[in-house]
Amino acid sequence: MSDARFEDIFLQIEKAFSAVAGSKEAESTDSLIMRVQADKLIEALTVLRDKFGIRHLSTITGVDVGQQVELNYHFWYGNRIITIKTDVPKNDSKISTSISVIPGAILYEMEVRDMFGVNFLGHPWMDRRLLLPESYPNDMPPPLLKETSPEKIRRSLGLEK
Amino acid sequence: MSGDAKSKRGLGEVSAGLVQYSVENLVPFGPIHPALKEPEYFKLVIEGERIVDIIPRIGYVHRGLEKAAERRPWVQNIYMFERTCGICSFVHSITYVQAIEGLLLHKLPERAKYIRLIVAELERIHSHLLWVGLMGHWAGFDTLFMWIWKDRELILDVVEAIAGNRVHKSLATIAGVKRDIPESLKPTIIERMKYIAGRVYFYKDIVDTESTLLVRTKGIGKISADRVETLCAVGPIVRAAGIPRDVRRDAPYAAYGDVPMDVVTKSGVDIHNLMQLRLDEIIVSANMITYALNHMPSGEIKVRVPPVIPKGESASHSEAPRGELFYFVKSNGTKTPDRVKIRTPTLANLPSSLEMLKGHTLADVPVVLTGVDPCFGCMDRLSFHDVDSNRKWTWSGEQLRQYGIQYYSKVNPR
Repeated sequence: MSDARFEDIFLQIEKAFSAVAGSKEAESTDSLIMRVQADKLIEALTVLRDKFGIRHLSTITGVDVGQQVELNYHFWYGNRIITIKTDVPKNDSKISTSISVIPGAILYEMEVRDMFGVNFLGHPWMDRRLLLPESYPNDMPPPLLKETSPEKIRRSLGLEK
Repeated sequence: MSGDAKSKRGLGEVSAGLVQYSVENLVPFGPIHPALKEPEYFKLVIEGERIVDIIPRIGYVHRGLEKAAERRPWVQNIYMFERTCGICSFVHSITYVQAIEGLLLHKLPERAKYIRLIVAELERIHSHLLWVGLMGHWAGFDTLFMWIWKDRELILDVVEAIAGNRVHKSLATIAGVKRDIPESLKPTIIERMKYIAGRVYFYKDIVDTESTLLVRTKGIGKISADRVETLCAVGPIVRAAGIPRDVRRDAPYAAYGDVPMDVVTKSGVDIHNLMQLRLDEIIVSANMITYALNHMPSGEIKVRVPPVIPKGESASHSEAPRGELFYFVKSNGTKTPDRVKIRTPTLANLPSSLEMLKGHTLADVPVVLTGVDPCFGCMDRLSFHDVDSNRKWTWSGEQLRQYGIQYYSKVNPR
């Protein structure tokens, strides 16, 4: 499913990313995975948008990778999914919001905040829940972290002993 | 949720200067009543009849599928993710297995690719018919609703004949499909595609000429192509804005690379164009199904794969009836996934649909909110707050529908 039209652009993206200290992690015929430092993320997204016109963010996926929460910003461009990865520490997870670059990220950031507890600095709705119920116990870690289990949540809510 | 309004801002304002609301024009959270349809809650900020802003609160039917998937075997998850949606169920299962297939070296058999395409397109037809019918219902044109839903049954019968079920097909599996389409079914399906296309031309005519429908749909729910792109919208709403973006053509999966297709676009988003676009897409899908049936290769429909999926990460997307559906899968080389992420098209389209509502009247709420074909579809409990008189009240979806019909019979008496 590779397409020659896009090959050049992917090479250019790699070059532009090395300028913001990013590096290529993996590549296949339908994907390109790049990694950047958390403090360089906004810069990297701005490069993607302004230099290459890539502004369709498919979603933001959080993944619990032990001591860190890995954030995957998936962009759909041509025949590929371009993924920008960055890590934030789990116990003090914060990163600046990307809605100034990609306004469509507003609900995706709220979802990651609800599910992984990542605080997106500068997001206007960080004090509000999107998906989690109001009854979700405040002393529990966010639900999609590995240390949380359905049993623990049920115990915390008094539904199970 | 507290009533501290100072920090609350409207969704559409995020990119443009972050306008804040004062305390008095913010609606407090009302009680939730997940009655007939799926529960959803929007706070509408209104000035008299005009909608100033909408604040969404979703998640009432969030059941933690992504967490549940981490404890279930790869294959069992297919059937769980299929139940994410009760309309476009097949596309969920194929997007999930496609993500897994990205980690495998096995090649998908050619015939399975065609079967996936045919069932996915049948699903698109019945989903679009359902939506156009509902649109008629919300606009007070119930005859259209009944006609269309009667035709939709024909498609569901075909789906039942292929899969054994009307809604949850349980047809997709890793590196293949579970059931073949028998040759004996071919003439029936082709004949029905012809019939459906004929009916759709008739409905297109109605949508273009029927005055009650025109007054409720033409020029209602506008949004510019630039805003649609900025807010990362997907599916029919993007194509109605004139942007030819479709996963089926741009990043072909299943047999989409082999079957000719047109990407239908329109000149600008409004409810009328969205109806026309979906009806056009039904005709395109019907042609694709007929072509695929006539050109289907013979052979195997499934490859056996081990229960353990190799270590790695894979992202996959597909064009669901409502737009781009996205799955991300991470495997750590065991019998269960380490992480599965789903992004449904409705979430991607929510910011745009709320922006479409702004500036319209209360009477347009049912039509516009249904306009992007939300998979939660629920307006069973909206609370209203009139900024001018400081009055607050709550209506059910049916009351709001009646209000819309009465409002337009006054402004446009026939």
